[in-house]
Amino acid sequence: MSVLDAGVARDVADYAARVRAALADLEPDQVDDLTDGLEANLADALADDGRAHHGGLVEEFGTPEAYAAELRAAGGIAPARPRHPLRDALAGRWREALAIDDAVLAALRAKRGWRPVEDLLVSVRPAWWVLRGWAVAQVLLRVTDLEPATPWWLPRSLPGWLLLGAAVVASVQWGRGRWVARGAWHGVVSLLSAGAALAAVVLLVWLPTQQRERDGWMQDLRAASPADGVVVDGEYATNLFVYDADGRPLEGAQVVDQDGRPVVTEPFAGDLASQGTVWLDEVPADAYRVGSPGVDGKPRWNAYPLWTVPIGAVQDDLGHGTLRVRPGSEDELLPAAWPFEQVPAVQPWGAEASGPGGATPTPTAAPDATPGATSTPPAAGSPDATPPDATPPDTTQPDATQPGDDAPGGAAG
Amino acid sequence: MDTTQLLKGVLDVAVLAVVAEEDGYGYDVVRRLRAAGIEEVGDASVYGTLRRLYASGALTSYVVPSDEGPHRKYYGINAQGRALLDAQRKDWDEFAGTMSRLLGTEAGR
Repeated sequence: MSVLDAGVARDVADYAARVRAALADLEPDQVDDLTDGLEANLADALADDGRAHHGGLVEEFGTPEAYAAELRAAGGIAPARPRHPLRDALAGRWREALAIDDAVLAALRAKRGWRPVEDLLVSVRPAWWVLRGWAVAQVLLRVTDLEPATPWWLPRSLPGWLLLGAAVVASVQWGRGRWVARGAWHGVVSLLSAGAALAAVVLLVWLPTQQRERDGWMQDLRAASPADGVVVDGEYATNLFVYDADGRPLEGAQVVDQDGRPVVTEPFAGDLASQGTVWLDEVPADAYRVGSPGVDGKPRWNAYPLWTVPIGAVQDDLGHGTLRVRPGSEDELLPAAWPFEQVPAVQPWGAEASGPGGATPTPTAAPDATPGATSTPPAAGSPDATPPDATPPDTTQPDATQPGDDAPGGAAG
Repeated sequence: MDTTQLLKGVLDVAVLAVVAEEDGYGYDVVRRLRAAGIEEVGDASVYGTLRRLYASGALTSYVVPSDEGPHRKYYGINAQGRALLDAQRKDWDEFAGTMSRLLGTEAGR
């Protein structure tokens, strides 16, 4: 028994596969009969020191086709009629391609400077085996739904990792000549290998492009939305509820910030393509929040609380993208659910002096009023109305912590 | 003279003789033929001949597994093979004698 290095083992396997391919017109058991132990015989011949060696397998034994013809003749098996004209024609083309391959390799080997190049290529071959396994796994992950849609160099799921591992192991074992595909499978695996080479090139170009594109998109998203909205306790408020000084709900309260900019909880207010839908128990379909109409009929998105319009009552102009309630469907609108029927009353600064009307709230009056609310709960004494929820309006302030960009949009409203 | 052509006619008996001496697997038979001086024979011709002799019932075959590397298919001769070998050996002796006499006469002329 001879110990051959992996490269020679591969060459032997290739050669044997081509011999079998040249016998493909025979019955499979005849082929087995003729070529049983072929690899062992070839390897023994190559390892036999008592034999004059001529270089590669083709130089040593002749072309696989000639070898097959000799086996066939000496074995007393007549060439059979072609049974699969198409397959035989394809096999013929394949053999021609391999013959060209042989010729090119022989021509290169005849050149003086080729030897070190081939040595180098042979030593980096393991890297190719790993790359080949990776490419096969990537292609499989792309065509199956095992992985999230966004491509990445490595898998992100357990099945993805298992697939990658299996593909790399299979590729390396095949490369080392440990796993040998027999008969027709050899052709399939060779073809797969060639496909993997192509796929690897495509992937190496395509993946970075995809990732750049995705990164660009992420940056756009980040740049586009210095998030409009109201943050309460780390979460975006989806609606606001305004109670008057007596603690009674106030419908249609218009909220603006210190610069007069409308305070909105729907960052994509009215844009049907972007505005999120909400799911309510009351309606068996998606719904949109919608602001109260102003005098011009257009929704005011800073008039709170926002009501809800079921998707069926939205004017069907999805192509145009602006949320409008279909005329005549106003009765389908759903009022907002107030968190409290009533909250404890407050005593606004200056209210005693100017009377309960408080008709002229100065911009400074409002923020100052809220800290005062913390002093009222003891007086109100109704625990159900006082929970922390009473204070959050205070936290609309965080929104004001990022007015660094005094966008001209602030004038809207 | 192209001895490859001559060999074709006698490869069967040569292979039978080698295997009769001792069981052997594919390349082992090739090696022993070469060692005996039959250099020009192609490996594949020997394997094909072994296969044909086996198929015609002149040889037995058994597989010896190998720890390292592929298994080996050994060939051994059987009674039918021995009978064939004896018959062919006789034929060869007669033929070789005839040829020697002919060529010897020719050469001595």
